[in-house]
Amino acid sequence: MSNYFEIKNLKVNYKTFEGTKNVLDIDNLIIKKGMSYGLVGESGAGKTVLALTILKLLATPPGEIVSGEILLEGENLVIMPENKIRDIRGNKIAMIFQDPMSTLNPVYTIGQQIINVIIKNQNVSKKRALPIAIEMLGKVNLPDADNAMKKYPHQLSGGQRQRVIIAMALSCGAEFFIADEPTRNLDVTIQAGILKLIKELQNELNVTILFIANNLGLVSVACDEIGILKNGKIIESGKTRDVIDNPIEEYTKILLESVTKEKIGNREKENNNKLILEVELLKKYFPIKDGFFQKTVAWIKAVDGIELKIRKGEVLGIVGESGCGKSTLVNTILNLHRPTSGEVLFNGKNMFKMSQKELRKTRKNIQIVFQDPFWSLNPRLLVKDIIGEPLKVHENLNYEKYLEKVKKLMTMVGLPEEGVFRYPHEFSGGERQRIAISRALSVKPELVVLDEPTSSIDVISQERILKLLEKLRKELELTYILISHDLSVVHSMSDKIIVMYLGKIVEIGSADDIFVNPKHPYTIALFNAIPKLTTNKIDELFTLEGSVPSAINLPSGCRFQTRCPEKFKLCKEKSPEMQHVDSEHYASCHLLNMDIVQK
Amino acid sequence: MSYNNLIVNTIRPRIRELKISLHLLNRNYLTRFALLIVGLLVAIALLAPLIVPYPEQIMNENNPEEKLMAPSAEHLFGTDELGRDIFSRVLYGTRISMRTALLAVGLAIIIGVPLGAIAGASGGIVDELLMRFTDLFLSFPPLLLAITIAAFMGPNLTNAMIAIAITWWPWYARLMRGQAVSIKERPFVKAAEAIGTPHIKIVFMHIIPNCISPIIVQASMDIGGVILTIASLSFLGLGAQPPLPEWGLMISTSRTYFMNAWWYSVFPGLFIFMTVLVFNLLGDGLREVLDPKTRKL
Repeated sequence: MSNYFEIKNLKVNYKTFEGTKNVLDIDNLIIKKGMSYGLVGESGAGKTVLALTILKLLATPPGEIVSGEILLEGENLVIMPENKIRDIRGNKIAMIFQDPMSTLNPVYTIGQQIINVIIKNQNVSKKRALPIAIEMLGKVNLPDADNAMKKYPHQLSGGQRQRVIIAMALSCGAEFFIADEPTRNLDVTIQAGILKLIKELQNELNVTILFIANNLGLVSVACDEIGILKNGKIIESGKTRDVIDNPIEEYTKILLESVTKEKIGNREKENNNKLILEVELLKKYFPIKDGFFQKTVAWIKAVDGIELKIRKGEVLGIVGESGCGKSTLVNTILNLHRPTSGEVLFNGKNMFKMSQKELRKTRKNIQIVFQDPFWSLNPRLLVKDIIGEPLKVHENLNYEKYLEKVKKLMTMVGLPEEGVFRYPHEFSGGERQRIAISRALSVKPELVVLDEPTSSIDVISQERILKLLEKLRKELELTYILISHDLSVVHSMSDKIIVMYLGKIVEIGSADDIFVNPKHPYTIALFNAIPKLTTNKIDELFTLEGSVPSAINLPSGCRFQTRCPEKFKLCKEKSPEMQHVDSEHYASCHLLNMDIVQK
Repeated sequence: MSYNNLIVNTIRPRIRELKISLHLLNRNYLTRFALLIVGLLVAIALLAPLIVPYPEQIMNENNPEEKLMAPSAEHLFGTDELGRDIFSRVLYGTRISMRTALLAVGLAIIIGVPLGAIAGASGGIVDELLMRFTDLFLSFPPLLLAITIAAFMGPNLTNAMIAIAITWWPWYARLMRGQAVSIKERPFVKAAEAIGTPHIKIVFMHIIPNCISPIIVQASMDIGGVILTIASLSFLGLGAQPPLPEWGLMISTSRTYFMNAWWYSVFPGLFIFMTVLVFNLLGDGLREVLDPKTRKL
């Protein structure tokens, strides 16, 4: 087989305020026709720059291609004139972006957009284009293609949108796909589906794929060959299994370790500390108002009867796909929302019956670390004022003492103390998350809510942040509620795990029980959807059909029945009760109720 | 740590940011040009009484023997119907226009920004009331308002300025409110709430500083617009009154002599055109630098 796609001696520079910087320096990269090549690297390694350079979409300035060749079927893209490259961009190379929402035009239906593409590229009439469009949508396994044609992008879920984008690229006759972290914003169960689809296209339509990601696990499942990108250079490459089984470079080993997270929190099983937080039958419904008099016509049942208990020093993990009510639950516990009903007892006191003054004091004891470290820090303040904000509110210190304390907090999370005189944008994502953590800890809280603390930072920094959190927990005797859709993160940190689906707890138990012996079909699906290094074939990945139903029109009976692979008649009729599995392990599924199963 | 060191340490990062901003502003040729001309105009405005060649001719002096002379080495822009040096008058006019425009925009910001911030940050009924009040002012025809004010308080430059500020502030209130509503949802505001920071402090520490960039951009563009509006009001006789050397007023008087003294209307017009243009260019440049979305290092 000849080399379908090849990069030779490519050098790309960036001109910045500080001077010229080399961001990409690739000696050789070859992808054969019909193969998939995975490129792995941290953010800032130059992955996206490469993708943009191939398509010649790189902004120049500040970017500049210094030297090198990019060959597609023997033609050099670097020196190709703009009008010719435009043909290639649409017809031969297609790009799948991270965010499918911004790639689709929100004011046209899916059908209109895809038909336009077909008319333009295949020179057919509108009538002929329609069946082709439906066929294409079928090819990407979009359920109910006829109906989807009439929908607008916002009416589809993230995974469905990504499928539409792929269908559009296919209908242009694209043979070479550049997928830039196509599953980054998707839930694991959906992610598995997209991975499978990409693999299928490769096998059936002989499409060539350049897959860009920061997660080695993802790439290892989807690609034939991989390359590790670090600071713009490919430091290691080869057949996927070879690289994973026998990594040579130190950096590759670190990346591999970051995927296979070992258990960080290894602590004694018996925990008889006092209860710090008790949540009893908590409900939070949001009203949907309509009509002239703003009458409430329906309720969004975001959190629907949650019960949980946390002891001092414990780490409770909450897992679930987006839209399952994790964040609403936490916001309600933090009293950022008023609950519809139910109680939250913090250290035995009901939070919803406190006076304003008492509440302010209690709030100090419950802090939160947000997911996105780029927007959780005020960009106009110096780090000293960000970390010190809680001190200013709750403690009356003179300036020198204040500064000393801030510096101490800064070193506690492993950052240099001179950093307090800098702006947040001068720090990397992981460092910003450390700043957010030190702000949360500055008032000595008892309970810290970690809302996806690692999901928007690099894999390597993720590991370090988790270790830091564990260290701080021990030193400061903290209690954590850890929310994440990444099960490996939750498993490595927590003692107890709650799996949520559509506002309800479907399974609860100790971290090991849930991990080793999951009972609820949803939990099982979640686990098997994660690509692991040991996953050899993509077929081993588990996918769930469809997306999470709306919390307004809940399915009858069991909430999971619309997507459950093991559903039977009763599931549609009756909502399952919590079933005891063993010691502290409970799950709500009819399959666990022996009486029912035997019948 | 000594006190000195503290100040240095706190100020240094701010200076660094300023340097980066200036560097970015300087990178764009149009913005650099705009900055240069704006600087020049400000210098002229500040130094006008000292640098004009015939300071005594600015106001009332009558030199019938030199009236309506074409531009020459002696009178760069020629002379007007009373024999006054137009170059001196136009330069002095910069001072008048600049001061009025700055005051009018400043007044509009002082009224509009806090109202908008309060509306956006509070939401609910407060938001509704304040914004409907704003709409009330927005729907008032600006020229009519100026005429009314002139009729009640007499036509002069100060009243024109007040009229402009009154019609202009709602735009700032709206801009600020829109910003505040979106900034309010940012995690750092939520974090501040979780910490227990008082509401008013959140508004001043977190919300307003993060909304100020678009206000600055809007203000720099509005200066051009306000100068234009003042000139129009003066042209209609509702603003500056003779013998004040205001650009719009000069053009208004020059109409009679347009056929045989082109320079009389052309030079003040050129200054209006240039001033409005460079402030708009500056606004565009500032937006590129201050808006985090377009800000690229």
